Amino acid sequence: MEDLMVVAERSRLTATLGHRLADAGILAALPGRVRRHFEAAMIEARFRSRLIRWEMNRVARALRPLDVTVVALKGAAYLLLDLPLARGRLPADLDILVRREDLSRVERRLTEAGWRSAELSEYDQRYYRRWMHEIPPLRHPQRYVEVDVHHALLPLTARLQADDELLWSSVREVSCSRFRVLAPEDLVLHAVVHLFHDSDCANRLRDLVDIDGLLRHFSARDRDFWHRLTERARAHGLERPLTYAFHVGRRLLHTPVPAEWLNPGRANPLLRRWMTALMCRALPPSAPDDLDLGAAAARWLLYLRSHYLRMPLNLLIPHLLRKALAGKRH
Amino acid sequence: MPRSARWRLIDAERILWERWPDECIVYNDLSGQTHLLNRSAAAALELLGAGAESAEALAEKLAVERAEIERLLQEFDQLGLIEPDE
Amino acid sequence: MVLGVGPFQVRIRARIAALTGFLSRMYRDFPLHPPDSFADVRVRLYRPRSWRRYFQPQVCFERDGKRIFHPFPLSHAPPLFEWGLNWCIATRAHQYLMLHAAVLERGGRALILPATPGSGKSTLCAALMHRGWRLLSDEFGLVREDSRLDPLPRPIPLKNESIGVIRAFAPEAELGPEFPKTRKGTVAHVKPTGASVRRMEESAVPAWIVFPRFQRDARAVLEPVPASYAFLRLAYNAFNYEVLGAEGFRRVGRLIHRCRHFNFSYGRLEDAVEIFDSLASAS
Repeated sequence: MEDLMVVAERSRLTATLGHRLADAGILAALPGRVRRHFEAAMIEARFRSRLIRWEMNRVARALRPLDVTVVALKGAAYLLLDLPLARGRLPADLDILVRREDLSRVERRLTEAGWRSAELSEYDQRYYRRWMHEIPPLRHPQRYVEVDVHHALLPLTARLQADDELLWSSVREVSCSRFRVLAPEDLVLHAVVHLFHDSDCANRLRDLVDIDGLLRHFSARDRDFWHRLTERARAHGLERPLTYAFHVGRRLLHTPVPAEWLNPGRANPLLRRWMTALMCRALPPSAPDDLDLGAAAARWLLYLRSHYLRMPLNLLIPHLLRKALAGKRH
Repeated sequence: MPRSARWRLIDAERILWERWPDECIVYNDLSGQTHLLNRSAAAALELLGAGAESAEALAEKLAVERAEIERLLQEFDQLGLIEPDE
Repeated sequence: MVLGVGPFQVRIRARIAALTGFLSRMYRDFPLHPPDSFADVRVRLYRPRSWRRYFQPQVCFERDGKRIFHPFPLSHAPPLFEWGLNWCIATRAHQYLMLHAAVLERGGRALILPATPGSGKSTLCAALMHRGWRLLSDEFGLVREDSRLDPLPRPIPLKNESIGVIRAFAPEAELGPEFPKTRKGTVAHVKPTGASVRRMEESAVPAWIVFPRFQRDARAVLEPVPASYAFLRLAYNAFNYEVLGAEGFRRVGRLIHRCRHFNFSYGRLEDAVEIFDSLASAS
């Protein structure tokens, strides 16, 4: 039991587990000593969600005079939509999306209203503005939450590009908020893209659990969902990562992907099997005290791959070198 | 802001109160912040919780200077306790 | 080993002589649980594999496999353990409203002494513990939903001059080894009294909240403060008031309603003992 708690804690899943146990009516039946851990984690998750909601409130207030569309992404979107999977999450930042042409107005208004840019070197500022899909993160000095303002969903040099116009065309309103959210299919694809193309793979099990949660939630409400999701992935050119998500999800979390929708892309089956195996090795946190070289190797390969996808090779090498040097300086 | 602009509490149900004769402490569950209010500030907040009010109406009901109410409303807005009643 | 410390069961792994000696002395009468018990906290102290290993040996603190804090000199393993355990509790035990305070008990009623710089809380706490008060905690006021406080007796860390002061004030006190040149100066720990450890499972009803301020040669003055003042001071003093949100607000409120609240300035421990004695014997 204790080992389970440690692994859950490592993967940042204790609170989520607590909510699932509560929904199943099991939490109350656990011995007090164990139950308290889940409850304490759920309290902390509620606290973190409150910080994000409040930050959204403050951003909405600051942007009141502007006529711009602002889309809440990831954790903030799950909160706005009141999705069950939002409970128990530990959101760290507020991610919002605006149109490229609105970006400087929004940045200016937020700065006027008190937000400050994170302290960054000139190189990092350029990395952010030119290659990433965001201005450097903003933070209001009275609070802890970082606000990441995106104008595209993937870095500009990435080999995979979501179709931005398609995204914007399906953005929808949420009641009681000036923030909009992506269509369900785009929410899933955004999460999928980040899981498979972000650099830090260790402990991304949390993210897979989110994707699994999104898939279960939307497919339960809409029989057509798998079809629409697949069509959408094709339109964005994201069938490959979606395939990986389905296979890894099914293997690790028994995500109920119907057999006929399991292979949206025409991925090389060998490559697909290799990626799935790699992800299954890399995602779960290593057991306590385990010197897990296999997992470490898998994570290193995926880290390289994700950067390769983000940047052309001639930019990648100097970038990684800089990161390594900066790391040593800390 | 036009003179007759009205304000209301963002969410009256999310405000918790501890009351004493001359002051009160208020917790706003939206912001997670805790505030100490003197008697007139507390009275103003109570009224805003009961229904939308303009600065003019508040000044009259509480027998307080209009300018002071304006300042109070500005501070409440800054703190995220109230919002314009649109 | 799995050590029972107040409401927590702590799994400790360490092969460091200085620490083992400290634990067997300072936690002598604390319950030990079988190794397969469920532990709330898992800590490990170990010597890092660095080139310093032989001429400047160090020790690191780990919780659940993750290192916390920078390395300490090996001889300071005991204070590192104590501070590390505090951190583990303060960051996780949200079933409680955790006050940063010393708490002592007499007649079933709890005296809460919130910590502020210059309060002399630990010295005061160590003194009271040897003058008829049971130690609940020198650092954590663990406030339950029903407002009662749960005990967490631990070795009380004293700094610099306070060590000598307590040796003189309470010669019967059992002190651990001195650790010179820590981040806080010289530190030594006072072993919790036998009664404090024996009654580790007995919670107490809150009765008095006293904000102490030590000033050398000051006259002892106990002065009541308004409830709103006590409320705010207590809320901002707590470790996890923000995290608990609305529940934190409610728990502080209940505590304030049940207690009498005072500011307290003092310059001599004897005066403090006398004043708290009269508090306890009044209604």
